[in-house]
Amino acid sequence: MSRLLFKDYLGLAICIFTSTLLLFPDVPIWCFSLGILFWLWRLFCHVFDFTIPSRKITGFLSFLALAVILMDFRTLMGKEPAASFIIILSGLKALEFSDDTEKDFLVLLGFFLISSKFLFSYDLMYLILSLPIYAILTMNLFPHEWLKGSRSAALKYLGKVILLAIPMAATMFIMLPRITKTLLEIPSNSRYGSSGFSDTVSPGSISRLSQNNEVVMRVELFHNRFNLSELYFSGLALEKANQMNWTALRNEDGFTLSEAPSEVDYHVVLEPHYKNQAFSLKGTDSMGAEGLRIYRDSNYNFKFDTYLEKKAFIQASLGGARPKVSEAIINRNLPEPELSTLTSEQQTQLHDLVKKITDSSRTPEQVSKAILNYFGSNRFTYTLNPGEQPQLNLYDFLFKYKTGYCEHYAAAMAQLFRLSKIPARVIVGYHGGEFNPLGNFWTIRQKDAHAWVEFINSQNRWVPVDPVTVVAPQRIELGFNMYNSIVNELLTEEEIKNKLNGTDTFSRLSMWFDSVNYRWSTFLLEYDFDKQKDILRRFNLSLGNALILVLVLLFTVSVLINLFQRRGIKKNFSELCFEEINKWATKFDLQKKETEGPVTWLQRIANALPERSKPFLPDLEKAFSLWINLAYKPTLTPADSKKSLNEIRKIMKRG
Amino acid sequence: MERSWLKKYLTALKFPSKWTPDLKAKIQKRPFIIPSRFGFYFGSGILVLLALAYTYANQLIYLIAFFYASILFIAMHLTNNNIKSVEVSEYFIRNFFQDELGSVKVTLQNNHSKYYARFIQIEIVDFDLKTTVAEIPPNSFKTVELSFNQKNRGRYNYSKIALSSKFPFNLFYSWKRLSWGETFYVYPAREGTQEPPYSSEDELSKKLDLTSAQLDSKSDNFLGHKEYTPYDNYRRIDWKVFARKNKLFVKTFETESSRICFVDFLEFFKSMPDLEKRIKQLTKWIFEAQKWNTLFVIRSENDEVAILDDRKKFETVFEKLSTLSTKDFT
Repeated sequence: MSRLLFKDYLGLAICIFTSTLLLFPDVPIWCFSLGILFWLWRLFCHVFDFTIPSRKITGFLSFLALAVILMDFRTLMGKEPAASFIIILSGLKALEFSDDTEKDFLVLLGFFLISSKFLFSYDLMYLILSLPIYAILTMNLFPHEWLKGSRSAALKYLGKVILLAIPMAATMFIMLPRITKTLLEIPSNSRYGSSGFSDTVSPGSISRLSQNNEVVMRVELFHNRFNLSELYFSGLALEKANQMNWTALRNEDGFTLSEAPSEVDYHVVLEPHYKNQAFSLKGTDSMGAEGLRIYRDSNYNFKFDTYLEKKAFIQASLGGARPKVSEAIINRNLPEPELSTLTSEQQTQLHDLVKKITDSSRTPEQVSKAILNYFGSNRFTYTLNPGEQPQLNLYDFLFKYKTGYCEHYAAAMAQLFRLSKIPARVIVGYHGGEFNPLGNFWTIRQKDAHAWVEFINSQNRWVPVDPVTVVAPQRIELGFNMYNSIVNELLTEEEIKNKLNGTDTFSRLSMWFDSVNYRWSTFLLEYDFDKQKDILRRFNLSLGNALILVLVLLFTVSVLINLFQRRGIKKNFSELCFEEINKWATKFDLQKKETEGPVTWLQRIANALPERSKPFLPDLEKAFSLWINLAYKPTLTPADSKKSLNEIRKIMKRG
Repeated sequence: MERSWLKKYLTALKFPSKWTPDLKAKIQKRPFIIPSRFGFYFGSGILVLLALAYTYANQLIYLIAFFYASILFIAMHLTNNNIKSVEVSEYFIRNFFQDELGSVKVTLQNNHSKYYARFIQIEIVDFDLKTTVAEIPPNSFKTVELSFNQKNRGRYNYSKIALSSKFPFNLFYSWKRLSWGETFYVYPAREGTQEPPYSSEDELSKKLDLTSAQLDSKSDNFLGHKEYTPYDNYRRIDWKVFARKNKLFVKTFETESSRICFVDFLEFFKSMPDLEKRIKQLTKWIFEAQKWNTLFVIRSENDEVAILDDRKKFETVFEKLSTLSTKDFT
């Protein structure tokens, strides 16, 4: 019995196992391992021909798993606990699977398993991967004997069913009214802080992301043209300094609900990052997203009201000049860094440097330039792998190591500003990205994470400044990706050009896929209740009418399917001829009798025909001879048969 | 006692077993359809997906749920059509002896001009017989034969026949039932240890006042031809010879006068302590007579004599014996 699964249902087993694997990043490791463990158990039973556990055991285990999941998550309503439970359940079902009749239930679990992946990601890649899985699962619903006997016929059949189902599903998707307001957003703690950055930035914390290729967001710009060097997406303002570590303050700077932009300057498709930050382009004044509320403070930092657990489709507009910064904010961003851990000699050296900077400059703008000059002219270097250095202090960085990633320079520069009595803070977010000319959008990944500085200028407004522009200008001008390639792969000039133009096949292919993926995500995200109403309005349809229309369509399809089915044994030419003649004979009540042969029938007709119809006899005889020919001459070609039939029809019509 | 029962049956020979049943009996009912148990699970699964899509405002899950709803909708039609075009073109149960295996022959016809009918389950409801026909090509037939047995002799109505299918996805169960207004007989068992009551031809002709033509034993030992006289058995006229010579000749056989079996029906049953045993014994004798081509003569109570000299007559007697009850003697 234990061999059943692997012998006859290998495809089904592979599908469910693959679906389990796909959920690996989204569920706690213990749930995933437990699911895999059950599969290994099954494999063990199979290889060593052990008895598989009884239903009682698997039932008990599933209750146990349910209890543990409930204890761990405190709920079953969230995505993670649900997916975890399905993984364990399908593992257990695969373990106890020994009977053909349970196959359908296993298939159903497989459907849930693969569909639950899309609770976590809309990614086209997953969808493409899951399509064959869906197909194999659906195919496994066919009778097993059929699959065994004529797999190609079954495949063809399945293809036809899918071809029919796709337009039907698309119609329902477009027409059936759906509410997309999120009602049950139950947060689950295990994912917090798993990607992106936290509220504190310390030396090395951003560089840690430099190897992370995960997509953060895709941005489509409409009206303004931006160079790569100008693309700064600010996420978090860090205002509290402790040596080189900067932390975000919980401030109450008048959070107000951001209005949906009247004119959209750019779209952001933000991947779930399980935090509440929204990343905005420099100069953004309003942001809006369907199903989500976005707030902004007086410094134009944008935040969601909840943790972002699903992809967000954000529309944003760029505004003009910013209002002046309030006194309270200025004072909050003035405290000088704590230097007590430094020796007095180190402190003096640091103060000398600050004096040197402030002596030559009077305005904050000049101080900014002086600091940049200092970085530019004192052999500071930019490194991609500085390592984690949370204990690094300002002195060591400025006078000893002189090397670091963007967060080192931003932290140090903001400290120097504050030592020069100029309010400043560190901003973390993303810079640059990859432009996809096919889709006309930018893809920003975790490795584009960046930190820079904002100081308050002489007009009391925040001004951004990026120290990396002087230390590693290529990083800012070409973006992280290109800079990384140049530094690590030692590319030739031509290779750099190719890479910049995206001319190699692989880049083109990946760009194309990324573009399709972006369009797909935007379509799905954008297709909300309002959009649906817009589309229906274009066809002069209200939601209620659309619902009725779908139902009418389904009914019509049902009727059509039943109407156009040709049933009944196809009559052959001889039978058709007979029917023609018999129809004519019925008029004179001279139908063929059961026992009568054609010749006797003809004789009977000839005898009984009324006098006025007698002239028709020769024609009738001809029709009979044609019919007899058709019935008893098997060598007649279909064309000749048809000709005969037509002739008989003509004759009978005349009669 | 109903004296004329045997005569009635012997004169009005009506044979219920036919290979082509009456058209009336062949009215095929329209199919019905309901979701199968798995169909309910599947439908609930779609509802759960819709709830998830609604809860998490997930458009992709909506799309998947709609896709599966479409599959469900299509499956409903496919299952319905799979059974709709299938008809029972033949349903025949041959009469058989009690305690022996009988057979049901069912021929299904796929009337569709284009599509196969697949995995049609045939259920003979009353006899608890089930089988599945895997495939019937368009415009063709498939015949299945099923065995079964009946413990009691008698006349039975043809059981209702149910055709059902869950093809292709096991999501819906579609079925149609049809009644076949026919009957079949389960003859009494062939049991008994008594020797058959043989009589000679002379003895019988005297006793029953019959001509030798009537007491025509069926020996296969052909002797030759002789010209026909009005006293000869007209059944023995050799028509082939008539065609050649234009004169009537009859075939003569080596007569086996001692091999005539005679039963006085009333006497036979008068002495019975056990009706069933007697019936079984008589069935055995009649069957043996039919098998060995021996003439079997029965005298009913009112002195009417039935000579079982062809298959139809044998069958008729078997049928009567199947339904014989004590009421017939009171």
